[in-house]
Amino acid sequence: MIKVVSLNKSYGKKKILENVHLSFEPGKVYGVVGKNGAGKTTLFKCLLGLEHYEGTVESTFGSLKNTTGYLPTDPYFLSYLTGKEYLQLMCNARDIKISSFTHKNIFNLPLHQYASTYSTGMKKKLALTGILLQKNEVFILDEPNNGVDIESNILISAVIQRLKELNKTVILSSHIFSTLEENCDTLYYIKSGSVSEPIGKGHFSEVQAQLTGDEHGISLKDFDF
Amino acid sequence: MRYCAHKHPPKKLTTYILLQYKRFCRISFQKGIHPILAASLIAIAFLSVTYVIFLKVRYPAYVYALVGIVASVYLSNGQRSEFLRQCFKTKNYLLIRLLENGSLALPFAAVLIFQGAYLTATLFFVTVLALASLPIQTKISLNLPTPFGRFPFEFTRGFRRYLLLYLLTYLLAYFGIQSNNFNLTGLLFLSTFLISATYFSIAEPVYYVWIYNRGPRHFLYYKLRMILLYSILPGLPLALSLFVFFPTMYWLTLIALLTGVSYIIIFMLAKYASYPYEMSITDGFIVAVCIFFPPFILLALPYFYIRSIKTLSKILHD
Repeated sequence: MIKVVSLNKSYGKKKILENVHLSFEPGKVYGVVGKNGAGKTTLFKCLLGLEHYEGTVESTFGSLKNTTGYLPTDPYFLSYLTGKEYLQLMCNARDIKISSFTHKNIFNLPLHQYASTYSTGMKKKLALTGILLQKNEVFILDEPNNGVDIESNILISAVIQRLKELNKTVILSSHIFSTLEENCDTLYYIKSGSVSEPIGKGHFSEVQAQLTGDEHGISLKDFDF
Repeated sequence: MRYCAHKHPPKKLTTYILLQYKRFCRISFQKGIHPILAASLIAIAFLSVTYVIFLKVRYPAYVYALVGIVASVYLSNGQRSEFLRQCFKTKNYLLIRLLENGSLALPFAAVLIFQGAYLTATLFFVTVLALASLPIQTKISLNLPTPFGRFPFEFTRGFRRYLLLYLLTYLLAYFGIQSNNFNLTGLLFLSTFLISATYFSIAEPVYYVWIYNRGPRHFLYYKLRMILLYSILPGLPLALSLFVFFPTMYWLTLIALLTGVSYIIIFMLAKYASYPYEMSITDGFIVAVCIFFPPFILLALPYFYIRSIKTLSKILHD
């Protein structure tokens, strides 16, 4: 279980996250929603220890950093490194020994090609394969469906359900409500630095209504196209 | 939306040039030096290269012009040209590229004229301006197999990236052996380690360090083990040649080997001492002293090691 207590995060004087309290249980899938720039990625980075913050993040899995797989929104791949070598690097980082990646290539990626030349969707799939190979306890997936084709999206949903069956904790962010409806047990809604109380399945449409109902900062009629 | 509107092209070009100036200032400050000092250092480097070429090299005017053309090829690289093409109208794009290449070519052409190589200067200037309109693919995306696949990523990437440089070193070493020149061949052997060291000095994104389940010490030992395992491989053909063709100098070859491995270790530690930021000018200077005076490595090693542990512990949470 992961427990976040009184988490605060600021960049200079600008408060990004304010007094955040969250809990994540094993065997459940959590969705984090909010507009662009609401602080979803910052929250993830705080959980992962990639950002400094005030407050506490406790985990029953031991070091959260060493038991969490993080799929960034826009995974970055080093040049001149093939897909296979990237997966090898991910395994080496966690002391995982794998003799062949052929049967682990669930998305049928061209592993012999340089990963930096992959398309957006292929990069996402390779990064996801990498964290799946690490046998993590927690999975933080930042917009896992972005840029991915329909077939792979179905596979990603199946992967999430399999992780849930294996009693893993999955936290994901997405702007696609059908994905959230399909995969998540609970939603957290981030708005103006604050995070809502957990929202159970069946109430997701209320969050969607709130998100779509929020006023836009500028009216299109004021924009000189 | 196009970056450049269409009504006042000269104003938009000025904005682009101002942006480049701002970028230069930001990069300089990020490196810890004032932009004026950075510009002065670039000027000194340019004059030094000019001086060395015209003093030491045969056919200096041709070599000098070639250096200028290679530099302009960097500005014409495919991705950069593509970006500019997307941002600007064709006319403005060409103007910018001509302006960039022209500014780069001007000091080279001035030196060539000063040296009396009028024809070379003219041909050089025309060539560089012509290159402005061509997008040039500078990266080779050939998926080359390497023996470093078990422990990516430094050697795997570096070997592919600098393959041509390694091949050039082998070729020069061949001439060194042919002319029975141990000093040249030994120096080239040492340079294979320096080539490897350069790709150990480039800071990788934080994610690539964060993923490790090791503390800072174990992380550095892991990198050290990789260096000890792989660093000899790029220079292996030269090491074997040295042992075969200069057997009496085996001890000097061994010293070169030890020095070369130490170079890579010091570059790696210097990188993590400032991580996740790029190596500072001061650290770069210390590394340079290590290269020219290898015993200094014994002092620099603990200094960079302690600092690396400190910076890495912020990411690896020991």
